[in-house]
Amino acid sequence: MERRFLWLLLGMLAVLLVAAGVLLFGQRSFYRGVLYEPPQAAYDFQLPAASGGTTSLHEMRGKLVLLFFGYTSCPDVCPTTMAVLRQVTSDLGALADGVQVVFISVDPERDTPQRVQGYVSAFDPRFIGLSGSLDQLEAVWQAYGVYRQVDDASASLAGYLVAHSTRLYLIDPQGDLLLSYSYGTPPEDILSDLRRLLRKND
Amino acid sequence: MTKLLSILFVLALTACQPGVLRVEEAWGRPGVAGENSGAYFRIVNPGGEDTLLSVVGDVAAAVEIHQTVMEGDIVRMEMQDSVVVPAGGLEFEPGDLHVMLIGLRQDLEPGDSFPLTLNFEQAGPVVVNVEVRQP
Repeated sequence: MERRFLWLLLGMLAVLLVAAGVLLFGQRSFYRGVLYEPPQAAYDFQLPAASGGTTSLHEMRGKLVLLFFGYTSCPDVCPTTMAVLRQVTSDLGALADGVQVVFISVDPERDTPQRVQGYVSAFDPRFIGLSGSLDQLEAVWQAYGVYRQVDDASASLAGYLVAHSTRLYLIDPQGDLLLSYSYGTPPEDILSDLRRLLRKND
Repeated sequence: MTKLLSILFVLALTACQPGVLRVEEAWGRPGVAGENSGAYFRIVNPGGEDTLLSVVGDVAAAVEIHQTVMEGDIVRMEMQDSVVVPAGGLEFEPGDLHVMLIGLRQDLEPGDSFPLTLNFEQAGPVVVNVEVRQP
């Protein structure tokens, strides 16, 4: 009698442990992006908008924000990423209302707010493109851990080139950094995470 | 008549030679006049090693060969004076080698096309028709 009771107790304990394990560690395998654990408050940038006034991150509360840093004179990596983001918002259909794509310049000398907004609007008119003074942008780059280096030693007639980090950041509707993606992440992975998050917030 | 046919025959043979370097699937990104854009293609090289010495075109104020280099998260570009084309061929594609079009002289919309001349050391000049499309 006692032994059977003991086995029952052990069985229940095992079930509890497995359930706990799934709850604690299962979350990690849900997302395809790199998880910020725990989520960190995303720096609330406030930058001049192309149409005048300012645009800040907290205005986007309630949406998932996809944030990328690049420059408009970049012919290769930046347009590739923007094209991926365009495909993502396009594939989301009506759900895209819950997502805001933001592009912040790493080249304030050439990129005015108007130029950046024009650049991103060509991909999707819903995208927001931002620039600012070097001081304003430096604070944002630093807060997001963005590497940015002007290369003026090149003989290129483009003038100077800008080396920069290419990570894509996902900020949740509460304004916290939740996930990030490396350059070259397939749009299907980003879509998978977005759909999961958008369903959660329903 | 026979002479003409012979000449045509030889010409046809030369054109059909599989041993001739060629450039395929040339495409360019959309762009706005005054801004930059990029062009890509596949070089098919059935012969021995060759060198791409330069790329020229009127579509932009400057046309240069660049290599995108990724180091972890960080991307930078390196201008290339010339590029070795190994036997077999070489791919110019996003994230790697590309032709940078600096200061476009015209808007580039999907469906447009423009010529670029690739100057090879062995194969000589090869003109390609670059088609503008959404990537």
